[in-house]
Amino acid sequence: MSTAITKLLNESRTDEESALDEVLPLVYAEMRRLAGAYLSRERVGHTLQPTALVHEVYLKLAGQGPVAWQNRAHFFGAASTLMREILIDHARSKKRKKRGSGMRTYIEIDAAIGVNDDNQLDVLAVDEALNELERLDERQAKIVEMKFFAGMTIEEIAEVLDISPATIKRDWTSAKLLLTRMLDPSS
Amino acid sequence: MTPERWKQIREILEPAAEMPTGPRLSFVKQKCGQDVELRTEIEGLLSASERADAFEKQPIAAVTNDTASSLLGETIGNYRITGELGSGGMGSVFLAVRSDGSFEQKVALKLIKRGMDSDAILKRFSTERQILASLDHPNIAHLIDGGTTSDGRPYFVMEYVSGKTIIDYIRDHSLGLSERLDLFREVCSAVAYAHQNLVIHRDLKPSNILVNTAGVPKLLDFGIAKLLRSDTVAETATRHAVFTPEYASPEQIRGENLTTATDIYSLGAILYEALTGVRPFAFEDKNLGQIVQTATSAAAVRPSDNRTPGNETEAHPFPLTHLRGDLDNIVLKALSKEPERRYSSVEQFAEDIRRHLRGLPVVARQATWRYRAHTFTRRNPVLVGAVALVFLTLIAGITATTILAHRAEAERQKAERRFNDVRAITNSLIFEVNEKIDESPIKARELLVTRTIEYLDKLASEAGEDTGLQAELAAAYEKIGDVQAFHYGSGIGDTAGSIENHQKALAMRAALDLKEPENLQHKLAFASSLLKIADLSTTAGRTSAALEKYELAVATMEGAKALAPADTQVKRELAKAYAKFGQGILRSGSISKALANYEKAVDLMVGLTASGTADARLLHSVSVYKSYAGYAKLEMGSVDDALIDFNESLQIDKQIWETDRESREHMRNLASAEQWVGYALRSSQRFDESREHLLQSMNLQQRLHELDRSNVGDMNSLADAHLELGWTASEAGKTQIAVEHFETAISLYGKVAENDPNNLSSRRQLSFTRRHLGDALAKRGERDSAVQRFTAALRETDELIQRDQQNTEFRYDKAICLSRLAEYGSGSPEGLNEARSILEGLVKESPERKRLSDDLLHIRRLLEGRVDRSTARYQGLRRRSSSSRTSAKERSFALSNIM
Repeated sequence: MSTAITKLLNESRTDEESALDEVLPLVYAEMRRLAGAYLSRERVGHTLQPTALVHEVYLKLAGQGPVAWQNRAHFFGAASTLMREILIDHARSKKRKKRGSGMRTYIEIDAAIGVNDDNQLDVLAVDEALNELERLDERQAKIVEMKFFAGMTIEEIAEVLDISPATIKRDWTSAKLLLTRMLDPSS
Repeated sequence: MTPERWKQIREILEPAAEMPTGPRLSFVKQKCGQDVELRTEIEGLLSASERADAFEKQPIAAVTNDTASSLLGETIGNYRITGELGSGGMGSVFLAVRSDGSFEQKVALKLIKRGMDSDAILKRFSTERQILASLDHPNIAHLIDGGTTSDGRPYFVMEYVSGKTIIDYIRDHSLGLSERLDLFREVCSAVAYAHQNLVIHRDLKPSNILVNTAGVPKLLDFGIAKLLRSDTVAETATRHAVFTPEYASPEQIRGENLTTATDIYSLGAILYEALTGVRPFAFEDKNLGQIVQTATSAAAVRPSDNRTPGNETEAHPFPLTHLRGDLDNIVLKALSKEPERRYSSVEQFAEDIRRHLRGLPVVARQATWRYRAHTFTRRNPVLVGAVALVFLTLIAGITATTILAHRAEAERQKAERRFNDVRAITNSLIFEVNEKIDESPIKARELLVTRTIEYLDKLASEAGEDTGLQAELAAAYEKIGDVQAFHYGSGIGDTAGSIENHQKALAMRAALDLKEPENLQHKLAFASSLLKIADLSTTAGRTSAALEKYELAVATMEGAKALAPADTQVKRELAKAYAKFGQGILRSGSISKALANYEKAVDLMVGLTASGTADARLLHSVSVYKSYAGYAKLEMGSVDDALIDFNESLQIDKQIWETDRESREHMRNLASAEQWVGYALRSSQRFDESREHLLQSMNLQQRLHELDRSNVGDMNSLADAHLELGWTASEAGKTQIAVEHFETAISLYGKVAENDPNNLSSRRQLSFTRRHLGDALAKRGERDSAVQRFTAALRETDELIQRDQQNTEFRYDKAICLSRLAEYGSGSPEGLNEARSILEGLVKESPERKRLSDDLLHIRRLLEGRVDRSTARYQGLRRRSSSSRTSAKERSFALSNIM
């Protein structure tokens, strides 16, 4: 983590919006780098855990010295959006690879001993549904982003958004029911 | 849905979601009132609540492992985890101790991975448990216990083997050769035991074979073992291909059904590594395409020749040369690509090693040689363009599609699976080939052909009684055979392989014709196969086999004509059969019989083209058949009759050329027709006319050559034209002009031969022209220069004979060179004697070729000293003018387009 980011983060207290605009590309780059490092290790067992990643980035920033940047909400809000993008890009490139050469996927999947993502939600489909939810209720969409893509807890989100955990929980409950319906309308 | 509506829904949905099912329904019903749509919507959303839990999980990009740290100290069943041993396919293996007993027993505990608990994997896991429980052998790690963890994941407990992998053990203990072999035989006994119990291991590799401190090898991990009894194993368990490519058999890599032979292959790979320290194939840094290609078609380097760097260090207590012979053969037999070429059982494999240790002859030797011969024939170098590759790829795809269409609905699924097989392999072929094609089109083509044949064979085995399907398959085999025989600028194709596939097509077509004798298409197809095999047999030097096929083709096509007397295609094919039969007869020496067949072919084609609507192709075949007839007449000495045929042929080709003067095809055909006329005119001493026609021919060839200087065929034909011109000039006594043409021809042939050293025909022309140049120089009195040319020509001829000892032209050339050298004082009586015996042999083969006996008579006279030199020289040249050149022309016939 470069001192440039730390410097910018410290400055963000005084002029939040503009400093954040400047810091985001740097945070973004750092997150991508870390995510890439996780995902490029092709052996089974190396995983990209969004929570860990977001926290790692934050701690790295904080670890640079006395972080005066108080507005964690901005950071986590931005970080969860970035995380969403990273995961979606990863899912897209995986899909492309699958289309590109059938055989390669075959070995990737099978050599990795049938890593079975059937139990997992289709990240790309979730992303689309989330866009629809955004239209209906922006805050709910943001909560899903933080919860699902950045792995934040209800309490963390409540703290970040400065809303009561009970409200967050209600928002989350109906949001996930709606998204589930959107992803599988047959049920 | 609008945001307003969503808000309205949420007001009911959110409190309802917190309620138990009973009150929930009445709550929703009450709140929604008359709005049925709202109620349906909310109830639908509530019904999703179970699946909505998926959102509680994180979308992670890979699967989390159990790590020792997370489970360390925990208890599973009666076992306490004390460490991690490794992480295998479906689960992790932990070191654990029995925690309830009075004694501490170390065990290996295998636990399925979290996130891997799909039905298929659970099934496989339990299969493994059952298998292990049924095996009791001192060299197989045995099962102690098993169960399910509190969160529902199955585990089992195995004997803990403290030791090294077999390869590490061998290296660290610096085992000698016989110790290694003994250790390996112990491993074999365990695998043989498993096989007797109907279990295939399917993932044998060094890391699954540990040697404990007592030096006893133990087999681990029957994780993907499959019971031979098919009823006990779920299909799904075999679907997921799980293996280690370095030790996996080709059939396993292709995802085919596995037999015990796959374990024999893996054992072969392990033995290879145990003896040499390196694996038979290195797959690190390779992508899938390369792995599949190497594993399925590249031969392993002999163990004794594997000089991988760093492999001859102190780790090797014996030199690799000790492996030469038996051990090389034993290992390579086990590593055969085809399962049926490997040892038929592990016992046999182990027995061969034992025999070797006792100095007894081993089974491997003979088979390996046969195998090598087999692979050698498959590796005949052939240059092929990318077009052929794409073409072949298409065959596989199209055939599979057609097959689908032929299938009865009941069999559709089976066909679909096969279709997918073929398509998958076709895709992978394109993938593999694209990478390989630049460096080695030969290899790429071989790979493609081999693989397509394998898949066609599979399809054929499922063809059943479906005649339509059989016809399609036969067509596919025929096309493969064509591609194998296809040669691009080179004289060599994979003739043997091509014949083999044409034979497959032939067998199917013969059966079809027998089954439905009234079917015209079957007859046409059958005849087509016969002709192709006959042509190839001719190339391979099997003249009598070829003759039988030609004759049968004629009979078949006569049968077709009886069915459809007016059918154009039938007539054309019948004419082709007659012409080819004639060619075959001519080669075996009977010119008059050949002529009779040519004339039948001509008659049929003239009838066809009389209407005036015939296309250029059809007309050209009339021209070609007429030239054949003319050639036969010329050989029999009827020069004037021959001239009539050649002239008619010329008129036809000229007429075709007039329709499109820019067509290179037409130009080539016309040039060839002109050349024949010029050739026949020279034979009747009409040198000026001969030169005129030959100049026409040369001009056309010159234009063709200028249009495309990289076209080797055209370059060769231009050289032919100069040779003919030089020859006529030489006969007419214009020695200077002759020398110039011959020299031009030599330089052109030289370029062709340089381009393609395997093109024996051009090389033969080169030596032939050189000899004629010698004749011209001798005529001019430049004896030394002449002798120099004859000597060079003789050397070139000898090289050619080494390449093909059966070729009559080469032998004839040699005889003439020897006789020339004798005539001009540089030869020996032995040379002349050899020339005589060569000619005597040739005369026996073709008694009707009168000129051969003339040449023989001349040599006999030379031997008796009855001919004075100048006469000899003169007569020799005169005689030469019509004889051996003919066979070169004959070949150009074969190349011309009569198909």
